Amino acid sequence: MVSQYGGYMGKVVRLDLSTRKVSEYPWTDRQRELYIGGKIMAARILFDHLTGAETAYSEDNWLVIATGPLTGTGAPSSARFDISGLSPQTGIVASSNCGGSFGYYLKKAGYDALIISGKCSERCWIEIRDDEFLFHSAEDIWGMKTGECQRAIKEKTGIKTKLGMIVIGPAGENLVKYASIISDERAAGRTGMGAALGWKNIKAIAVTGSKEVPIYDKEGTIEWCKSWFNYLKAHPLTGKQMPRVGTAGLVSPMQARGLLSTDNYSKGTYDDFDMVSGETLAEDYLVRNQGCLTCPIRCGRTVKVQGQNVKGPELETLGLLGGNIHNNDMQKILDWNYELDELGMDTISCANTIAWAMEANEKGIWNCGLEFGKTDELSQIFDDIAHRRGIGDELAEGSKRLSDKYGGKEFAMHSKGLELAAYEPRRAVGQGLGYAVSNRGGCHLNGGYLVVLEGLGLDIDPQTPKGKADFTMMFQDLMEAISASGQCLFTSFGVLPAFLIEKPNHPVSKLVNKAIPHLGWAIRIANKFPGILFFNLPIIHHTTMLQYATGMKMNLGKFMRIGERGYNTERSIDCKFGISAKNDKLPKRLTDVPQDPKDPSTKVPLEKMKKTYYHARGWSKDGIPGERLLKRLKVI
Amino acid sequence: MIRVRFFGLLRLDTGVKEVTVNAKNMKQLYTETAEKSGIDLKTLKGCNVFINGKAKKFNQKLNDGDEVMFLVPSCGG
Repeated sequence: MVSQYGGYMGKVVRLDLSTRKVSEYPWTDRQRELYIGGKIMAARILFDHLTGAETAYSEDNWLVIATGPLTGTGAPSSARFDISGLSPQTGIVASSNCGGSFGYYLKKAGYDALIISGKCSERCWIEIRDDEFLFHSAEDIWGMKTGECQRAIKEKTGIKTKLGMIVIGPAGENLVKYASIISDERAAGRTGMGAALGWKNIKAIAVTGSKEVPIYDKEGTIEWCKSWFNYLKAHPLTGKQMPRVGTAGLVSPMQARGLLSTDNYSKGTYDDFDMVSGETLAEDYLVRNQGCLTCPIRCGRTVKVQGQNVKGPELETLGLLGGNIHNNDMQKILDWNYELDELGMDTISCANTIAWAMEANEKGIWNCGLEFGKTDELSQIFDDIAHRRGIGDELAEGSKRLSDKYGGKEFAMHSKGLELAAYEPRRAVGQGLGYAVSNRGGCHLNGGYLVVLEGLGLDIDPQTPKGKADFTMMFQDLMEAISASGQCLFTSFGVLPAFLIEKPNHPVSKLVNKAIPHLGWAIRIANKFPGILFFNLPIIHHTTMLQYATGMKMNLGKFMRIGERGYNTERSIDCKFGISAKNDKLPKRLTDVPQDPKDPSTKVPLEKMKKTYYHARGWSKDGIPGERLLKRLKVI
Repeated sequence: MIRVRFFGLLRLDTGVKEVTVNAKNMKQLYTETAEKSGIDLKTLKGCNVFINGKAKKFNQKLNDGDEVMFLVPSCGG
């Protein structure tokens, strides 16, 4: 189904593993206008397919690997792809985004998205060369770690470069609930999609192709790309902060603001934080920074592990394998980060599960032998989890299932079964709301990432619930649309005015920070009447980029509406699986126990914010998008 | 004595991790910190400042044993 629009290869293909048949999945230009691509396109496909009766480990669990229209166009930071389906970890909608080169080469092979259905009767890896889909036995690569597996497949295909791959490690093979999928050195880490692929008996998919991504206005695209690259390079966050310290640079500001999860989120500060900070990483361990394809931000870290240059840890890993388990040994975190990627496991969920187990052991709930600060055996424990040996078999189930079995739910730090990121939300209550209402569970990004406004980028009052619901909705929708375009969410940091970042103590900056919580009403009006946003803003480059690359008429209002449509489509899938207000919750530690016993405001006033959030979204009191809303959004 | 620590690009650009100062108020803190660290006053005044884990207040008094953090804004991860 060829598209009139640039940026698209015009083909979505379904590969049924049970029958080994390849067929084209109907996807029209009207759907491209409404759903753009990436995770929103995947949500629409899953919404049409899923009834609510399916499970993650079933042939009916379709895994949708989708690119965005900007992938392969040369747009900044546009080498992203998304893997959606039902999560083995949460049982609800999963979407996991990755910066590896698989998406780019999938488009080169001629596909905007690949739907994987069914299950292979034997262990396989799949090779896609343009229109050719080849099944190979994976018996000789089964059990390999992710790096070794990618090297082996390169050997087998004879293609050293220009080959995109996704692979699983032992964790995915052994159905660890939070197994990741790896592409190059990047991870689709969250929601356990590695286990979903492992259950289907797929060890890897390799893709290469010879096609060119069509571009609607080549000259305009090149010019806009240049100006956007320059903008990102000049911006204090994307041009200076991120390349120099990466996401790891957040450890110290989080410490300063009481946001650094420590001892399983019982505290927001860690005495030895500087031993595991981004600054220490940059000063003593960094070999160089690195970036995904077409990325000028280059926030990735290259560090040394066992004498070789490997990908370094992100903030989440530093926080959760640092203060949250009471570990101040940076080299250990570098080693574990590498080992977890090699085993194919999400560092966030794995580290959270370990922290829960340490506290459960301390409280005598589960005598597993793990203790805060005692980390010499952790490498072995990670290997045991990936291979489901000993207590590793239980830890492989994640903190929700363990707390269901042993107790200790009040300190099992997850929402809807997905463990939280490293931000302790009692000092950033909007982030707390985001964790609770996020479609895929306890995710900081899918939750709207309000902590960036609540101290890490801007400086609005982190304890007030005022305006937080509205801004959560706005940022969820904005990030949904950016992700669906095929771009990295970090391009959205350019939206924060440089002046406010560079001069936080200027009276104008202080005034803006004071005013933001009072502007919730404006967000709601813009959400209800997107037509008033009929223009493109120079600081939100994404909409103009889409116009040049695709030829689609785009403006800020349309872009935000697409994000809203995507968010509600995902929520509607969740609702088919029984999700409602009762599931939008946080562990009691965060809602009932103040972080500072002398300051009762240092907890998350979740119920109050949820009520406002549902109202702003137009959902029922039970947190369900109604027929009228879905019709207005053209979902039904 | 007051321990003053530097983070973010401020630290990476200057190579200064921390200094100790004797200051009773914010004015003295800025002046003495600039003198001891070699970081210019304008840069220091543009930073976010946290004292004992809390954002500095206008005209805040300082006491012996306080710990001060100078940070530049970050973003996300």
